[in-house]
This record gives sequence, C-alpha cells and structure tokens, in this order.
Amino acid sequence: MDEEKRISGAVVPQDEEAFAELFREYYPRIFRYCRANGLSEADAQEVVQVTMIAVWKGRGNFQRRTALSTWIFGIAHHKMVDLWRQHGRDAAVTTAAKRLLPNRAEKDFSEQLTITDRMMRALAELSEKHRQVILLAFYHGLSCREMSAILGCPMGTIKSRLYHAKEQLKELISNG
Amino acid sequence: MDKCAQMQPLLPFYVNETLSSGARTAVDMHIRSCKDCFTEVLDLQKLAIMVKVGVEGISLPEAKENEQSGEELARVMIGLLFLGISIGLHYRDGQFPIDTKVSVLGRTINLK
Ligand SMILES: [Zn+2]
Repeated sequence: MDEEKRISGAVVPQDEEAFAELFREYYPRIFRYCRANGLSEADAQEVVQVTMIAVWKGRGNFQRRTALSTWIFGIAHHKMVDLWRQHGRDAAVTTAAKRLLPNRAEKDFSEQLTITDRMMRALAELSEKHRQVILLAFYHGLSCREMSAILGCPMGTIKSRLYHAKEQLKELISNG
Repeated sequence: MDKCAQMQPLLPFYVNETLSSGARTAVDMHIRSCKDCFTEVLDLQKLAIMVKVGVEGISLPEAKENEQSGEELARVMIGLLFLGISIGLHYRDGQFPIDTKVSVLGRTINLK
C-alpha cells in the first residue's frame, strides 16, 4: 500500500467500539510479531496488552504525519524490547525460540515441516537485528523510513542490514 | 557507482511496495534490462511471501481452545483498558486464569 494513502486514512479511534475494532486488527499482528521474535505466548500476550494500553493512553499524542500502523508497531517493538530487558533477553529469547521450533531430532522429517516451522527455525538462526528488519519489512510491510524511525538507525543502516539479512535467510530456507 | 549496486538496497522495498513513485520507476526501468536484478526481485518476492505466510501460520493462543475465546479475550482486555486496569491474562491448560498480580492505575496489587 502507498505510504501516503495509509497516512491520510489514519485516525486513532476515540471511542470504545472503534478501539475494539483496532484491537481485533492489531492483536494477531503484534502477537505473531513477538512470537516470531522468539517470545513465549505469555510474553507475547503481555506485549500486546501493554501496547494497546499505551496506544489508548497516547491517542492524543499521535501525529497524523505517521502511519497509524507504524506508530502502533513502533510502540509494540519498544514494549517487546523493554520486556527483553526485564527478563534478560538471551534466556527469554532462546528458550522461547526453542519452544516454537520442532525438535532437532525431527530434522529427518523436515519435508513434513510446515512453512511456519521452517520459517521459525530459519528466523531463530538469524541475529536479533537481522530478524527484526526481515519481520518489519516483510511481515509488517514497512518502508525504509518507517523502519529507520522504529529501530532508531539511519536508512543506510536499514538497507545494508536488510540486504545481509535476506541473503542469510535465503540460505537458511534453502538448506532447511 | 555501478547501477546494480545502487538498485540492490532498494529491491526489498520495491517488493514490499513502499518505495516512492520515483524510486519505483527507477527500479522498474532497471529490472527491464537487468536479468540479475530481475531475478533478485523474484527471489525477494518468494521470500517475502514465505515470511508472511510463515508468520501468519503462528497460532494464536485461543486457537487451541475454541473459536470464541479470542473474541472473549479481546472483550475482557478492552473492558480492562477502559477501566485503566492492567491485568495479566494467560491461557493455561484451556483455562482463562487471571494472574494474581493486578495493577490498577500503576499500583500493583497482589490478589493472593
Ligand atoms: Zn541490476
């Protein structure tokens, strides 16, 4: 979708019913984004919850020059990073990522793995930074500028990071 | 700078359709005459679809239980949001237990 079209259509709902609609739309996307980043179900739900609270509380601060989805994904991303910090990122992520992955012993049956199993296995092999740019670009479908704002790094960094990330992911998927 | 090297970093954003119309046209023109970059676009399209489909396949917590509990979760959470209450909701063993810690307007209360 064209960035400007998304922006002009973006309004943060001000009433309960519209907010419920927004919740239903974003809940699965944020939840899956967190799971794909290796969070447990419980942690992913917590991120959804604190994100939606922050969206509701911050609805007055939303700048219409940003796409609504970018604003929400940005909040979700930062809530996820906060949670990592609280839980000790590596422990939380590696155990959660393993829970999500099929057992290594089942590798011989890899032709039976679903696309989700294969993708999760490949994503788990990527570095955190590489995984994030892949998910923001191809799952959330964000522009380079939007990713740069969310991740807090220059667009040049985003481009080169994504270049290396997709090379690695291609390799992992074809060997998976 | 070599044209392909200039185009390559743009290709993921060409595929996810977020390039400005100017950049998009430049890529369109280039891949018409460059087989390498055209192949790369096809590869990226395949990869993007795999990411999208793969991640969309991650089951939501309620999917294991029944179809309605997702709606139920949404209703409960929305209700709580409007009360300014944050509560830990986790699905365990098909149950809908509520965490013993509840924070109300920033203050944490232990229900146990
Ligand atoms: Zn080229």
